[in-house]
Amino acid sequence: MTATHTADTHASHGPAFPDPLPRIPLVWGPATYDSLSEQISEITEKPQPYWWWPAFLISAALMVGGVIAATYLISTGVGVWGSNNPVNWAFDITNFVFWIGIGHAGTLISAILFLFRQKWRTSINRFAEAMTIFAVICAGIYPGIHVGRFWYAWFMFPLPNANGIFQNFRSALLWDLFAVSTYFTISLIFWYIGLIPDLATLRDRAKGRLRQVVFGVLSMGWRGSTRHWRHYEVAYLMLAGLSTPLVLSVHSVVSFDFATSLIPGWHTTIFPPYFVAGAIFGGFAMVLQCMIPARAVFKLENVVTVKHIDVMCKFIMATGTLVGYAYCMELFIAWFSGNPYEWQTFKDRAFTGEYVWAYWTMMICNLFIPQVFWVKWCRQTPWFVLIVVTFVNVGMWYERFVIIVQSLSHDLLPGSWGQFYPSWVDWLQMIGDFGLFFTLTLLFIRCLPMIAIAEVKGVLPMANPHGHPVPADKYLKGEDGQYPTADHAMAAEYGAPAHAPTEVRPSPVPVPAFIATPGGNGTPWGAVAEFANGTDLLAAARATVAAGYTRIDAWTPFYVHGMKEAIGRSRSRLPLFTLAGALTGLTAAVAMQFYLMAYYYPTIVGGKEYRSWEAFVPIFFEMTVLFAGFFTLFALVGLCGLPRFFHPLDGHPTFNRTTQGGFFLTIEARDAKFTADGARAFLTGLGGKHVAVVEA
Amino acid sequence: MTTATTTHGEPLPPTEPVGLPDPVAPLGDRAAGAYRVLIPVVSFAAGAMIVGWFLNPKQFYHSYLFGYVFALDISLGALFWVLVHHVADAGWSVGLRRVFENISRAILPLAVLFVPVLVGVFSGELYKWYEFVHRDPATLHGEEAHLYHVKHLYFATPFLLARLALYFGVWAWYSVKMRRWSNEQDAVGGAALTRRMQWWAPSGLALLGLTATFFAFDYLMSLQYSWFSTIYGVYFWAGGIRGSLATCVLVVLALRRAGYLEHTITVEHLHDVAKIMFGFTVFWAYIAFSQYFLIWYGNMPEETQFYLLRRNGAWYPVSILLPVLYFVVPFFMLLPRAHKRSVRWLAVISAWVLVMHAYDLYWQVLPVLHTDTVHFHYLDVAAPVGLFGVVLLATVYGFQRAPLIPVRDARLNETIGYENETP
Repeated sequence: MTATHTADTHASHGPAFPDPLPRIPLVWGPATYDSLSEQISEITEKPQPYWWWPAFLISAALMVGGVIAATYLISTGVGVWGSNNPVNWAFDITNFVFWIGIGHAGTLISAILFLFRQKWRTSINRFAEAMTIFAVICAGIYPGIHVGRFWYAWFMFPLPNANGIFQNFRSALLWDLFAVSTYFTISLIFWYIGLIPDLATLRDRAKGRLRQVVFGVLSMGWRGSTRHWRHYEVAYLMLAGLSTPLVLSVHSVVSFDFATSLIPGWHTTIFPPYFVAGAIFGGFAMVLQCMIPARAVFKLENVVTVKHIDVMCKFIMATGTLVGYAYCMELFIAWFSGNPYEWQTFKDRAFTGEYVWAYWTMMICNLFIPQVFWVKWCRQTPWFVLIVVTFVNVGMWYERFVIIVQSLSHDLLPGSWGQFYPSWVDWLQMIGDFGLFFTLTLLFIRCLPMIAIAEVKGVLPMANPHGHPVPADKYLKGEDGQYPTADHAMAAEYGAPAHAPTEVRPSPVPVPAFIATPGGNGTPWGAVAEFANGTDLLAAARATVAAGYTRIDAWTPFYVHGMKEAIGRSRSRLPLFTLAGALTGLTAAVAMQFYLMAYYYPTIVGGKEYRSWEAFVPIFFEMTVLFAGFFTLFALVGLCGLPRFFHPLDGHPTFNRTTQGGFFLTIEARDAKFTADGARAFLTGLGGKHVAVVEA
Repeated sequence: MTTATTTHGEPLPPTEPVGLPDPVAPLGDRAAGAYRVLIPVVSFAAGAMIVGWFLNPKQFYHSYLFGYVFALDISLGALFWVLVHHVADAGWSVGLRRVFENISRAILPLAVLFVPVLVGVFSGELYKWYEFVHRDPATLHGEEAHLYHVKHLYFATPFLLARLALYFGVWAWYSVKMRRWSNEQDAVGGAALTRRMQWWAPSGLALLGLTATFFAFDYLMSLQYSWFSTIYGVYFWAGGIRGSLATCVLVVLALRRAGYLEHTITVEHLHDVAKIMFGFTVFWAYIAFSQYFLIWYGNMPEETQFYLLRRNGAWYPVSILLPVLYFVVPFFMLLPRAHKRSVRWLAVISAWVLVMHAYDLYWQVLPVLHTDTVHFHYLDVAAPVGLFGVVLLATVYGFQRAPLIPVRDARLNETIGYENETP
């Protein structure tokens, strides 16, 4: 062996070793920043496709059915449902848990996969997050209406009733309220923060005044400044870090609704992770259920590729197997424990009872059918995947039905055993939920970018400012000139990725050397120049800093790796705000629960001591995350100085391309070294195009 | 399947690509220094254990079980990470995978070292169920008769031994195969072996999860045989995953200190490992809390016996310190980004997590023996140190034989010069 070992080969991007198994890009074919902006934005800009109105009207009609069912329930009473002794909880909580579960895929994809740097998530995270929010809305209906007395819904919130008694903070149902509302809030914040750059893209593409105003307000004046990206990226990371344990906590708390009780079949320690695995499983299935048709009708196969579906199917198989593991643990421990009540319930559930059909529907749909995904063809054939995920959704609904209804129908008192028969109101309410969900999904597809444009731009091969493009004839081929797998050949059929543009797009109108700002004060705000791509901009920013300029900024459609250092900035201090929020929330939760439960109106519930801390932990956690999330949002908005609806740079004729595919560098007049002519000449010297000085 | 070997059956020598930032040849004789430290420690611990076995067999079996599980679940955790690496088609962790492959070499010697536990089982000194399931069922009544009905089936000797053989069979097969294919790739490179490992890894992960669960049921949960908890297997995973990460970091830091891999496994890689460690710190707390919380809330005697033994009397301080020392302290140590990127901090944190992992297992095993007092015995040190020493010996042996990283891995480009992308 005569390998050379020199430390200088450890350049930041290393020597190129043989690459027999090239990574398949996440976006297939020659997509560019502009083509992506166009492809995704157009879905919201063009007239709706012919099928949209029929689909929307059907969904809306179903939704109206749900409204009718809820109205009938509220006007008549909870007796209109089939719930009765011993099955006092049936479709209502089944549907609640089902929808909360569906809502887990979004945060898993956007937060957990983000932390694991699974960049394929960028193509589906927006869609999945939207579904999370809609699913939680569907679920949220039930706590509101389930007692049939809607006007008492405020009883759920920590407010004292007429006797000065507060809610029972040791009740799993109250934890649920905190968990679900925190989850909804944080998911909404996370979704919104992710949307900001894309809303700005829509704003800058908008032709009509209405769209300009709506998206202008919603995007808060985002222009892709690197000073903003610097905070934005860290805020996104913080929210991902908060959402990850949050998503685990939500279904864990939902599982506590059952597991803290003593009902056989409910009281088992694996419930929290088991419910979480099931939620991710069902959520992924629902994402595919909606995504596969959407990608087909909107021709998104190059962005949501077959490989994306493949990976999602692997997740479904893995989580389905985990759920199966939990089923087996329950069954095994029910036997192994020697606890006759537990074993009676499971024997009834699986072998002898009235709900054996439901149990095996659940087993077949959740554990057995997803095992087809061991076979690649099954993962990569969209119509087949669609069939399998339908089974998964059915199976996950039955899982909740089995746990809830079967356990209650055979509780500890044989004398009261009995079956559950849903009423038509139960059915109508359930179907109405699906109507609501699909109505919201259809509206979302029409109104907002269903794919995170800025994030996908950031994972294009051309987006890597340090990358070395592969020649088209070697694209995705191994050392031997062959495609290493069928997947590589499939991706290569779409064509090699485009190289980053080397020329700045010409301006539609001539760019004047000095751009007046309406109502300006006559002095310059600063100088601006456009560059062709991220690599050029990075070099220009470094040269500008090297030349002694300090107040500079780079404006990019996505965060360009290394840009914040290039403009002379360091890591954002935003995490301190997050930490402050977390400590505030935790302190508030500790003070509130101990004060109310142990001192203000001490009550004994379930034989627990006044000051036992255990039962307060779920709300400690939820309030910690809730406050940390709000602090992160406000810190982001505050540190970036948003909203900023007008900026002097808006007068520049091509500057609005920062949210599409344009790269700009600015030097501000506040800079000690700034002179209008000097800065202009300097930027022109760097190779900048469309150079101008704008009025403040 | 063809295996690249010479005519004598020896594996082909690794072929190292040009341009690696560090020498990565197998350590060979240069590992002598590590042996000079490890062999005396392990021998001394082994001697102490043998003496202890004669003097106090009951104490020995319990301490040995504690030390054994400590070593075993670290090795299984290492196998877990090897398999996860392949399942995820990971690139950044290629260099670290060799560390895990070498730790998982300990599974084979540990299979042999399971014998004292079996002696403990069949002498009836270690598990109370042994005596229980061999009673005359006619003498049992009520709840006991009911328990007997179930437990004597599950703990029947042939079934028990068959399960054990299955566990070690699965672990040995996957760990040996993953390591051999990886070493074969050191010689021939290419994508075929990467794809083969990726093809096998998912089934290995599923089987590892199942076998580890039942191992934990058979040899830990059954210490109190009428107790049960469905999450116990997951708790066992969580501990092994943390322990193996800490061991990996310590091995890497030791290698770096000895002048190896300094530019190959950099602070960028360690930062990521630290992030995963942080994640699993929270995961462990989540699982531990779920188990404790649901049993506490339900308050049923057959379930609370586990915590009653540990939360009342002498074991109370040990129990109350467990979440503080094993969750709160590592959580805050790992929270700041600067700590995750500091070699010095990582050494402290990993050593801490490792010791606390042993503490967790001590807390699970020993209260069964000394129900009324915390009786700390010298065997409680000798067993984990000696058996963990075996894990390290196996690891060093691995580095002696195989290149320090998978030199011809298909994803080598992604691990050399890897940069963490945290904003």
